[in-house]
Amino acid sequence: MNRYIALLDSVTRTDIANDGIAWRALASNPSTTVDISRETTISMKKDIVGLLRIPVRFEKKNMKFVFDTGANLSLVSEKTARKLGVKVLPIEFHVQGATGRVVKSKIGVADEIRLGDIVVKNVVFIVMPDKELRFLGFYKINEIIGFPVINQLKEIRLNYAENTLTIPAAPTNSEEKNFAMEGLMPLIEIGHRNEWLVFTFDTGANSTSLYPKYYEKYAAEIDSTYKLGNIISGSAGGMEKNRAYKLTNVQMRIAGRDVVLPEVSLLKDVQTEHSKYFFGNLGQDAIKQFKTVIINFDKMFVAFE
Amino acid sequence: MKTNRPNYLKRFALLFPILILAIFPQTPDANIQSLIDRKEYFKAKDSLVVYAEMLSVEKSLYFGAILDNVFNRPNISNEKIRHCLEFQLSDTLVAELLKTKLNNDIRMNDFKAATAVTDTLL
Repeated sequence: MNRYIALLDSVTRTDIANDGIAWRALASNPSTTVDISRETTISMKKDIVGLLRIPVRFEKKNMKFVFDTGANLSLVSEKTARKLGVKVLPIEFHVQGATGRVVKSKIGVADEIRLGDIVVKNVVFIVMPDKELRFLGFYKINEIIGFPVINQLKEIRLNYAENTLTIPAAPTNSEEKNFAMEGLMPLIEIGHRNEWLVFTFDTGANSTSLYPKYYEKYAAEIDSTYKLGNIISGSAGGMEKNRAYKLTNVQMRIAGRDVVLPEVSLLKDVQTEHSKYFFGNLGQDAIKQFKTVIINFDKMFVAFE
Repeated sequence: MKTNRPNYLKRFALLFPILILAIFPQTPDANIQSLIDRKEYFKAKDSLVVYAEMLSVEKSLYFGAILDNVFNRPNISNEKIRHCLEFQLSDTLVAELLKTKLNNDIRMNDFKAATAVTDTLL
């Protein structure tokens, strides 16, 4: 028996073995390359659930893709893969979808896609059955550009006022080094009450949430100031009810800028992979207080303009 | 220019980690590992700089590899892993480094390398 396998917990072991099926299938494929010849600005649009969609060109076909830094890989449905000519490799592996369900999926490669003037070659996609991509009965995400492509763009500038995504020809630099990646989850360091707290950073989340770790830190003050209630929130996985405090006028210092959030939900009991370690998730209500958010994966900073 | 005056700054730099240890009795290894376990990566990065002189070469490479992965420098992380694996390490540390290398390889779209690490781990 391999000397390391016993040192891996069963979930990690299963994940590595499962994902390994995809890596083995891709091993002989050329690596993904990105060619950014000049600064490119692409229009983006928020869809009905608030996710950002950008136009992606495949040969002569255009399609709107969800632009999601939190997606481990880019994704297309089986139908979209056929329509766009994505080469589907003859393997099957398991992927946890946005609804939390584990789904038998395939892996595919697109020879070339274009984001504005940017050419991305050999793009890897998870290819998932169409029926697994329908949420809440009416909404479907058949196409996602995920982290591996976005990471190779090195820097993205999201302008929520003008609904544009700009990729500079060369990434910039900053004194701030406030950005990190836990696996594929972006993390941001935020100043709050003269301390540095780490939040997850999901550009797809409409609003900022605070986690139980935040409650533990300021429990006495929260209990004496706020009343515990319930909130119902919708996600791709369905509707969820959580016990929550509604904190008001929460002050933060992000990337050297002061931000005040008029109302923030503190989810007292939420238990996710990240809620144990981080103080909350930073959402669009904070980002949108500025014209542009710059996310730099090269020098690892988030900045606002 | 050379003088006979003592270099107070240099002396302070040498004493600084000792002072830190006197205040915080946890060893530098344990301190950084504990920060990484709690996913306090920004603090771990700062501690790695503060304790740089007090860590063994292999531990410095080990923590550096883990943190370079977190701060999205997969190629530098892999380079440190390569050096670190030249030392005699426990299987637990090697397994952690291999998991980190697997993540680095995937981030760099090097699926051939990712397959090789998967085979080593399993």
